[in-house]
Amino acid sequence: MALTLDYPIPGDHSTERVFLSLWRDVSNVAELSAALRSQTANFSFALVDAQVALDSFQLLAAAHRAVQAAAHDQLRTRNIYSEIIYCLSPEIHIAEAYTRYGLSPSTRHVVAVGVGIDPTKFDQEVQATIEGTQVPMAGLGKFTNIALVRQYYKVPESIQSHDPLVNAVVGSIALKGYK
Amino acid sequence: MATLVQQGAEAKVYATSFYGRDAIVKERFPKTYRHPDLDKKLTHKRVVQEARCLARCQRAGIDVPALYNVDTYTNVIYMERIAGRTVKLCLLDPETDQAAAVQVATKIGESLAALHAIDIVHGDLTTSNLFLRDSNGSLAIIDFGLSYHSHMIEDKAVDLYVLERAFLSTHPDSQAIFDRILEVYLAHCKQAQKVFAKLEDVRLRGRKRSMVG
Amino acid sequence: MATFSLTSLPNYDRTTVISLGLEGSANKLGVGVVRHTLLQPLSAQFAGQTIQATHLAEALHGQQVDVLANLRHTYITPPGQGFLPKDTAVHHRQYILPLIAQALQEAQITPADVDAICFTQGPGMGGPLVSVAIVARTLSLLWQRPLVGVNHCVGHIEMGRQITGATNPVVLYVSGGNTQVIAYAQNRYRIFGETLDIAVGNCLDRFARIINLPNDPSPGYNIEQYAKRGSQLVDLPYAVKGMDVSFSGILYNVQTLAKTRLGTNRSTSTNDNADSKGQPSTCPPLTAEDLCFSLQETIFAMLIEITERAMAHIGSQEVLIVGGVGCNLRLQEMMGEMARQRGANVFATDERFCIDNGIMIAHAGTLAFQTGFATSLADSTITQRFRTDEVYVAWRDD
Repeated sequence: MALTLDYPIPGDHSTERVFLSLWRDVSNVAELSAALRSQTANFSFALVDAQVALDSFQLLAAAHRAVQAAAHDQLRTRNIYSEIIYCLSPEIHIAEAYTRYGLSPSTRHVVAVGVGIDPTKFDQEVQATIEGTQVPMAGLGKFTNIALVRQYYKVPESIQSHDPLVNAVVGSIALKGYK
Repeated sequence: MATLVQQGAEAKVYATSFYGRDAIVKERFPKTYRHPDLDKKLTHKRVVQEARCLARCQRAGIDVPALYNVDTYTNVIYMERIAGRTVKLCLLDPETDQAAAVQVATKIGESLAALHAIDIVHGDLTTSNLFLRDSNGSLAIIDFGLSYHSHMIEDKAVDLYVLERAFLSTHPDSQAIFDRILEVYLAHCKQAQKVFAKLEDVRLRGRKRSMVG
Repeated sequence: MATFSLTSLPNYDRTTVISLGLEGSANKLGVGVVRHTLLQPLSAQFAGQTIQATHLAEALHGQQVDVLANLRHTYITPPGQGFLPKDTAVHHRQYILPLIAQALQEAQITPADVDAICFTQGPGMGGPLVSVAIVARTLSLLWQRPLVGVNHCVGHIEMGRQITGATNPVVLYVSGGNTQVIAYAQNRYRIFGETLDIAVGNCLDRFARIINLPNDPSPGYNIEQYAKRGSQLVDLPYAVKGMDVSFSGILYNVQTLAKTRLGTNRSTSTNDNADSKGQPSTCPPLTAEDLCFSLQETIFAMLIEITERAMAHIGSQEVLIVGGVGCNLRLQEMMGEMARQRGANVFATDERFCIDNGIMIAHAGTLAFQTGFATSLADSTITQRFRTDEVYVAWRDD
């Protein structure tokens, strides 16, 4: 089973792809986090706290918004990867998006989200950066804190099962800034 | 990759996929007859409004296509591609008997009541914009291209009036089916009485408008 | 399947029918004389057989139509005033007899040559309709000729089809009293979309009154001229609901703008005042021309949009504009652009036929008359409210 997921970007950006890989028990979170904060790191992927990742579709939807913003020169943050973190949040507050969806002291498991052409290059870069065990993306659900996801995305009580929950989250990501 | 499935007056609809899911992409194009400023304003407003209405409905548990992405740079919306057929096709199908038609009408009445309960006015209710899912027979409301948020009784009445006209012109012998929709709507919508009173007004206005001018 | 027996049809052994048409549903009084000429008499085409509706429709469609006279007299009120039914009726009574005499003279016919007397039975304003209907009834008795009551809207549609050659168009009917998107289906002109409140022409006329534009030649014409000089598009509500439209909210908004944003001195002087006081104006100066421009751009876009929706709905590639507002060149231009974008054809007529006239009544009346239709004296009362889809269109069978 392929560990890294790889999707073509629909629409006009079709030569590029989005890559997703999941990492369990990451030991250098503090180091990565500090590198991101001090802007010394030059990662070509976003690092998402796996506990707020409900489904790969959610991450892909956020990545797509970041790609769109970049294509129209409308990034609100430093680069396309920080923009992915920002786009995961349904709120427009940037710092809050970083705290909630990016790395924090409590982060244990991490999803790397990349945008590019070459999956091998993505894998190599991520492997060189993250100290942890790569596991299949299909296992993402094991690390999700559903209560936190519900809280962050303000999902109504009436929505319970997985698919409608993902749809509600993706809908919120799509509608960000248009409410 | 994308196949054109519908060339509407204001938008082209393609069947495609969005990160592994079956999707439709609705692309609004400029209408050259309109003043460019008005066209931009309307197009942008309709893209955003459509997306908002879809998301609101979804969160309220009303069956609509799930919203995947909104792109106001290119006036494009990606949403779920539902496998199924329109109520129009279902009602025109000789295999659909009276009991089945009544069942569909019941679902329509419930959905519309739920829609109006969260103050969403569809704006273009026809039997082509009501969809039956193959998977579970659920009734999905589609094409929110003319939808908006409104708590006005009048707007909801006009919504029903638009459906009534479209329904009876497309399905001429289906007054009983339409009446069933209203009956179920009445049972499920708190404001139904007021909406019906207004509907009566709107019907009369249509037919007996003052000609003085 | 509808059929006709030959002997139930008037003039079945002749090729021609000459009709007088009288129109007075609003402030225009129209008298027209029209002659319809069949390729050969119906008796020669259908000797000894029951006539199928399709065949009669074909015969009538193929006939030649000649306008022998088309006269109009318009009741024009001072600027800022609309026309009241009572005064309009007085106008019609005053001018109708001389107008009929002149029409017969121009057509070079005598009353004996007239086969039918067609008149507008509705919809329209009561008083003016009555004054014309009384003349129609009197002539019918005096000349011993049948009366044919005509629906005003159907008159516009048939005249538009005749003049432009459009065969089965979606019709946008826009006038002072009506705003409808119509398409033919199964012997009726069915209304697909319409205004939910006031008519588009009424909206334009009322705004013209607010900004004191003259009613000569018509308020709508003067708005059109002003609009040509406007450039700033102001934000007005855009009210399309399904295939219906609404204008009252727009009228209210543009009236409010006219009252609050237009100074007693118009555009340039307002600008100068702001400069001389050294106060930069937060809102750009608005002119009456800008408001006319914005009003037209907004409401015409709505009309085109619902017309296009109807065309898409029924899959039609023809569109016909009729009614007084249909003379507006900007509306025609926008319709042309919409049609071009979807590869369709647009048909429009000039002011002789789009503005209310007697010919359209004579023409539509004659078509009904040729299928054996006539209005008895008892049934000849006018009706202010007469839906387009109430008329059974026996002369078409497509």
